[in-house]
Amino acid sequence: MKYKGLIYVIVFLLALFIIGYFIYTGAHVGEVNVNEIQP
Amino acid sequence: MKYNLNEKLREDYRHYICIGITFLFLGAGFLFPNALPRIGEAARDFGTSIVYYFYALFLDNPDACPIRPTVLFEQSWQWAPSIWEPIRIFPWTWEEFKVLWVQYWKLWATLDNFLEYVWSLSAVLEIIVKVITLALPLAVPLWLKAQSYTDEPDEEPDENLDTKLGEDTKHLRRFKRLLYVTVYPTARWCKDFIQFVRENKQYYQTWLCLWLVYFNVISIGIAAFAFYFYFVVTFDLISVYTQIVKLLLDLTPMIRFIPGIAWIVVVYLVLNHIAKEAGYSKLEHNECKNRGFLNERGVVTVIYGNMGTGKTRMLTSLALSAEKQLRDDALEILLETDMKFPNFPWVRLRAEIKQRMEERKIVDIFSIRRWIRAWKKDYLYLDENGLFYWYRRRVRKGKQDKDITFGYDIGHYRTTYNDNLQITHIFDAIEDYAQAYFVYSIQTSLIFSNYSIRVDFDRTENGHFPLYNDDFFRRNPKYQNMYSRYCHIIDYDMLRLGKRMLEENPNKNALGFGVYVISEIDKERKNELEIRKQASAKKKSRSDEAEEESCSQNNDLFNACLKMIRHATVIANRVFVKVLCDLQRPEDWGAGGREVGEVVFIKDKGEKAPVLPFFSPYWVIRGLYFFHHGFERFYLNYINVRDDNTLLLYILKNITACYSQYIDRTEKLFGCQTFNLEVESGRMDGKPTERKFYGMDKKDFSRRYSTDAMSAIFDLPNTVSIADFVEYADVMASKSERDKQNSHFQRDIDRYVS
Repeated sequence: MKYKGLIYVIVFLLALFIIGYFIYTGAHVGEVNVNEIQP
Repeated sequence: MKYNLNEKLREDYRHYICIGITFLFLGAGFLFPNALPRIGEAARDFGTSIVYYFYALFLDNPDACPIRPTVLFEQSWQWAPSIWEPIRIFPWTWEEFKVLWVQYWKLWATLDNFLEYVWSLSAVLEIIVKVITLALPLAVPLWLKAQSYTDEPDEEPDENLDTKLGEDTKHLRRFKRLLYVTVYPTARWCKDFIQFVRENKQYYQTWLCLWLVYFNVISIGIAAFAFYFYFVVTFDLISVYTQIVKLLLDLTPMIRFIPGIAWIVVVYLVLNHIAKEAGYSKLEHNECKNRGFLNERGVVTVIYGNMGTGKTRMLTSLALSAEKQLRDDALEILLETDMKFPNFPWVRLRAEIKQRMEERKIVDIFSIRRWIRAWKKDYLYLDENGLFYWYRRRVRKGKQDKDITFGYDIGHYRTTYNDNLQITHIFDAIEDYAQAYFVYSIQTSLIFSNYSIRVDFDRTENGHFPLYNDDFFRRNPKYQNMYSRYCHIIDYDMLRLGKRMLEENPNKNALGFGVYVISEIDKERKNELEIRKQASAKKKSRSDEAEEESCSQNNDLFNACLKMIRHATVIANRVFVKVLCDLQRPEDWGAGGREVGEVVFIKDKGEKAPVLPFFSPYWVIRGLYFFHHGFERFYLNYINVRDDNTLLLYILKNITACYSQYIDRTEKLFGCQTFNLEVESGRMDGKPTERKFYGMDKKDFSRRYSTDAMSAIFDLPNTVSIADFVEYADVMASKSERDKQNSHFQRDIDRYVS
């Protein structure tokens, strides 16, 4: 395949972007509201 | 004397450096004030878990335990304030986690959140743009300078000038001097220092212990054991979540202390290691599939295909796998027989076999059978006549040279084994064991071939049972000569039951177990038509009597031997022989030999690619290949217009070489190619079945064989070069040019025309 290497680099950057979004969301999720905790 | 003193001073001063580093590391302990208290806490957790464990185990009432297992509690940081802010990704309790889980996915699916993330990436992009902005003023002149190197010179080079080829420019000479004076000596000193630290283990062991304490690794280990003793009596799965959160808090000093750039290197090394192990696993799995393909085949297998499809490569690979398979089969027989009579002193039998092999009293499986059967006959005579205990008393008193039962306690253990198929006598088992041990332990290659094949099995014995390491993939070529040997030269006379080339050949009766590899067997055996032509040509040149006496494909009974060969090599109902051949056309080998086995046709080969998983850094690095391609274009233009070495070329070439060597080494180590095969009977009258075979570069091309093994045929005295041959003058060949071909076709045309 002619541009195999380029595709690998793009897929790698895309994977970093997606993983980064998961981590970013985790860092910005709010504090737990005590009333929401079910015993 | 002076040299020894200097040597000692040099050694002494490295000790001082190591002591200095140790004090530095001890001083770093002030950055981790909670390391030692954390170990104490983990030890307390372990103690409480042990008490809880015994209460649960013996009293079956863990609630009555006066001590609560503290492994469930969060770490206490109250002894000293830590400069490392704890990493809190997850909430502390499972209930909190359940609530946040729902909130997390709601937030994840929100567009505003996604846009904020993309906006936050602009900080990263800002850094990248700044780097590009700084580098661009340097890159453009660099590119222009590189282009100027490859411009055609304005004037012709002066042939009278004595120019030195490959001469370094002034800047390159200065740069190299700088490297020789500073960088190389520093690198050499660092390598020597690392070697010195390796030899003086007390230093690096101390440093390792200190950093394991600082990074809470020891406390994590103790806490893991504490949790294990708690978990096995409670199976409290929810507490696993708490342990994950605690682990993250314990790892905080390590994660915060080590800089981000170092983590990139660590992640790369870890990913690379995991990917390499996965690659090795895949190679071993492919080798197992190849062994499965080999085991499906019969005694005789013939490979054919177009030129260049890899027949000899596949033949060599199969031979190596077959040799390994024979040893594994022998080992299987040893273990099975051992289990049939578990109390027999097999070690004594092995020692006896080893001694007889050294004294050359046993040279093949037939001599072993004769030996064991003679002893069995003696044993049965003693047993039937009630003389066995008299014999044993003589053995105990030392009046017998050998104990034919090897000290087996026949009085208490059985002498027969019933496997629901037959009754196996102890001496039948000894015979199978002895033959299998002979095959397994003989210190030589099991391959006979008409071309050289390098084998490399690593055998460890230490005076006891030998074990083999014949891993094809993890060998370092640096040590190849230390563990390599070559296969045996095949003597066809031992495969001839009729006439032989040398009638008094000492090898003529040596046919036995092994892997027989014959390349280009069609040239060796020929087909019926060629044999008849050969026979009639010989008849014209010799007398009838002389023609009858000489060995030929007609009277050597080679085909009969192939048909019978398995009878000579059976041990415990397993066949210990493989005959592997390759040829250009199956029809060129007579049906009498070819139809004995199966014919394997190599239809085509897949693309060669490394068997590394998708997450291996290799694929990303491989993606930067366009730099390599760009350098190649520049380099070709450069050497086309000039002969000297410049600094720019030196730097670019060395960087590109590092990249190229990494790609080359990885592809050669993990490279694998799928062969698509068609397998059919030697009669070639049925529908072929499709199979796959895996050609692996590390196994097949590690100096295993020479692909031009028959090249000696063409290595003749010659003084004519390719440039000396006459070229055609025009697109249409003239008659004199056609005559120069010395062609049958051209001669026939001339005859018809005239």
